[in-house]
Amino acid sequence: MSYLRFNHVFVALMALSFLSAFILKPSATDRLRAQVQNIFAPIAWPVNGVAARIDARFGHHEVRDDGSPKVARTSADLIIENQQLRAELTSLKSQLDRLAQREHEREGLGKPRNFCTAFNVIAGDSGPRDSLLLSATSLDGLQTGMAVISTGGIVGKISRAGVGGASVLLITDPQSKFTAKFIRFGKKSDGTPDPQPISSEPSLVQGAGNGMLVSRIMKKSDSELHLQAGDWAVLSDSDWREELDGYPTGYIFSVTPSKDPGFVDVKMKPFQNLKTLREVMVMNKG
Amino acid sequence: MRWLTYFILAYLAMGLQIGLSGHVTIGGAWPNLVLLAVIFIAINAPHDAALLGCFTLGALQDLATQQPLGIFALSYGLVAMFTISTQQIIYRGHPLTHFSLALVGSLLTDVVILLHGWLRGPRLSPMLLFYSAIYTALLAPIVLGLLQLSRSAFAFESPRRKMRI
Repeated sequence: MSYLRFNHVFVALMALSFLSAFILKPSATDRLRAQVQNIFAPIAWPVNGVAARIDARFGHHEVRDDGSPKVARTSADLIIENQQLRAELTSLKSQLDRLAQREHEREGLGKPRNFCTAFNVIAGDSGPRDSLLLSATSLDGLQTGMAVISTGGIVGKISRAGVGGASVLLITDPQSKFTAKFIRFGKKSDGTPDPQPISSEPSLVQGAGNGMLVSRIMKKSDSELHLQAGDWAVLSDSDWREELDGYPTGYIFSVTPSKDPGFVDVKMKPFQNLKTLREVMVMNKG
Repeated sequence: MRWLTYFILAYLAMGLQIGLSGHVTIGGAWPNLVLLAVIFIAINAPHDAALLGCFTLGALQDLATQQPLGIFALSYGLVAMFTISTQQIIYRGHPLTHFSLALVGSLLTDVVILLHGWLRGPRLSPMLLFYSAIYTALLAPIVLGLLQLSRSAFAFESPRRKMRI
């Protein structure tokens, strides 16, 4: 190939990449990527495993205690609370069983986990975005838009699924948007946690990258409850499955006045570092 | 250039990039190991092979990101064009060369990513991308220093020798 001819080929490749990146819709090229995105799994998976173990051993991990965020509780306090929670769980379980018997038409409305299949995470995003690659394919029943959860709450949605793999767009990615309500944990007279809603209307929450979520909400009057660090954001979005209504998405770590007058900027974090998860649950049943 | 060795490097760089993603971040800043492989190819390989090799590395990185297909391919094509233009005037084994080329390459990539975010969304934090560029540049002397030791495996043709022929 002559020098001039190679330059023509290179210019054509650059033009094609520009067209794909800036002009074409991402969905047009996502189909192609979904078929081949896991080709790096043989290296990425073990590397991710080793990195996760090192991270777990030497990394700094914040331990949250929503029952007593300011003062560490004693073992005796925790044992008492565990007993109370067990009692409440038993009570709630029997109530749920009774409700399940009565409402046959809503049989499907159970624990979200019942609708999920667990899949391993191969690795994260190769660029600056918040996403995960799963060791799963469309042959496992995965489809674009399916909800992904973990023990810490909502993780995200399947953004691409093909025979070559599947990827999850995390809720912390700037492209993610959903509506959520805010709750605060008080205590009942018997000392058990009591979630109290702070907002009646859901607020728009979007990913901010770097493992964070943000929401801009109207400043409340003095008579209303104000949001504060430690409050939870729980999903309340009709675009997501009904079973996930009220599922936790993260906790507030700062509430600051917004540049727009009359608004406050609420910054949140998920309960886990979503980019370092090793296993997630995809809601691919029901 | 020996293309088999090149593909082994590309595969390893991509595997490490996505495998370490999320685990080696500092305040949200992430190192771009694939870009360092791009710099390595661009400063050593002959003109045509360097351009094609860097573009292919970008296309591979595009396969495993939420960014639209073509962002990294376009960016690394531009990085290769810039780096190749400096081949005659740089000392390719010097750590300062590695640092500065990685910094310029990262910033060039960031400009393309920010431009895309500005035009098509979603917008990413410029400061975070800048910190990532610094992180990548700081790693460059170590990573490129190690890669320079394996130059013979790639059988790069010396541009100077080619000129004599």
